[in-house]
Amino acid sequence: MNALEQRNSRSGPRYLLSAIMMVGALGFAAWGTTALFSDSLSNTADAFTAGTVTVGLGSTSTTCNVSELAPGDSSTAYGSGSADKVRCTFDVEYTGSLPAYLGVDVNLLNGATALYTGSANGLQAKIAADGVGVINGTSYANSAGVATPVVAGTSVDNILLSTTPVNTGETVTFTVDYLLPLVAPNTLQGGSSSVQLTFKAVQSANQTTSCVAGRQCTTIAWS
Amino acid sequence: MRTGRGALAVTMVLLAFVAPALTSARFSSRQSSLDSNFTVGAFSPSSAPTPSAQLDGSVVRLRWPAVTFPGASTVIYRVRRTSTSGNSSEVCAGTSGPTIANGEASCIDSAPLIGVPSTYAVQPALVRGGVTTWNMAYGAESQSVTVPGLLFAGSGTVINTVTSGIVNVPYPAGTEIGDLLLLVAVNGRNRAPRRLVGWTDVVSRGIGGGQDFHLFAAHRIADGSGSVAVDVETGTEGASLQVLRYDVPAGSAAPTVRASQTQSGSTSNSSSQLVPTPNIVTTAPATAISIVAVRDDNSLSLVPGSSWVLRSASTSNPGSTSLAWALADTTVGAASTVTSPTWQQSGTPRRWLFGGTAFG
Repeated sequence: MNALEQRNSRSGPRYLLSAIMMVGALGFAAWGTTALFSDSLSNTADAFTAGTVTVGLGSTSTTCNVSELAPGDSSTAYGSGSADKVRCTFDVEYTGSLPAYLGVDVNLLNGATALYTGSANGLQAKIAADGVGVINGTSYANSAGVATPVVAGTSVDNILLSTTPVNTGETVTFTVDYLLPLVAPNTLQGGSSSVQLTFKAVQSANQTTSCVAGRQCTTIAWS
Repeated sequence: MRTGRGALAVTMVLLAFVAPALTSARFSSRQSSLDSNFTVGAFSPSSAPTPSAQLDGSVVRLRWPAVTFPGASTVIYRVRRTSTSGNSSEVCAGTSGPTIANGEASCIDSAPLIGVPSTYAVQPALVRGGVTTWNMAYGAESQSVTVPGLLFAGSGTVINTVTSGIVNVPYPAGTEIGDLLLLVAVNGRNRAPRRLVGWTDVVSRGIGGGQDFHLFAAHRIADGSGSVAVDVETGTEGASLQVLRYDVPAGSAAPTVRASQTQSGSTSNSSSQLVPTPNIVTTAPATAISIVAVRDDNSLSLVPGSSWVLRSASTSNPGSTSLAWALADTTVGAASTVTSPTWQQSGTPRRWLFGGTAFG
């Protein structure tokens, strides 16, 4: 199991929420005692337990190695090419207790010799989460839905996977399909690339969004 | 009181709206490093091999270690031939493409440049679904090979006669239809053969005045017969005759005389060495031939240092006259004036008869 990174400080919201509740209780008490302050005011002791937002792996593998590619090779579900290479699949489970929005960051990196060129003659990647497209060949959809080039080494952040919050136990399956086109030039010989996915979840409570699944979402505070 | 209660309510409202803005942080989590790694295959070995080029008659056989690439792609080869002039062309293409067996690739350049030193290099490439994709750089050039246009294939038996009239001169063993045949007849009299049917004269030259002898040569394309009947018209002096054979490259047209300037002459003085004049001028590719004779049994040979190759040298005493003759050839790769060889004779120098032309 990979270590989970709990990025947020839980003390901030919890103490703030406690403060709000305390002020609210005092306010309602004052509202109800229009005549006088009473000494009988009692305040029952309330217990506050924070929810969790955690994600974990639904599968044991975190790495998919595809080697000995040649021009024309593609994964089984790419849609063109040889369609005989293994498709990379990752299952990610939401294990938090609070409803959450799920997103993903994608970082495409090249090795010493680039295999990804950002054009039609280099490595093509189709990345999806439960069928929702994240990367299509060499581009992603920005918040306006405009196809935007994926630049090697520059992370594409905050792609919303669904506008419906997920609940604990739900699993998302990431698929990575790929194609090295027949027009791949000789300069790609010896090339290598990698695709790094960072799966992320954030509480959906107290967040409003007009984002569209499969696009970059900037109106959600992801951390 | 109301004022105080209202202020508290406002405080609550303000807190309710301000609090979220102040608390930009949310409960969140992330799972990193779901990695998909992609690497390509590679040619093995990493450099294109150097072919070996071997002359096999009129073709060049090429061989080199096969190159592999992992996966379903097929490795093919482009084979390039480069002449000494720098001109390059692709060979072993199409249905004549290289074949692979036991880890070795091979092909045949069935139409090599005749008489032109050439080298070969191979370039492996990947083919996927009929599309040629990646390739390697061409490997190093092979050793140089030169294919003669007409390949000397042998000589028949020398026939010496002292009888005037018809003699049968046998063709060399292995003569096949289409071969180029050369008849050389040296007569102790200054007479050329007569009634020679189906042959074309190359040279017919004689010396009289007490030192009589005659050099005659003719050519034809072998027609399946095994000998030629020659009316030598000699006397007690005698005559010496021989037929020589040249293979014609497969698929080539029947050879003809290519020389626009031939040789046919005699020297007026005796000398131990001879450079026949004028030089033969010919188109290419061609095989130039030089024939000399003297009226003695001196040994005839080439002075080393030229591209001329001695193919036959005969000394005989068929009758009252001793005779010697010799034939040499050289391959001509480009249209040119061919520098004549330097002939030499042993013993007491005698006058020369000579002739030459070029076939292709």
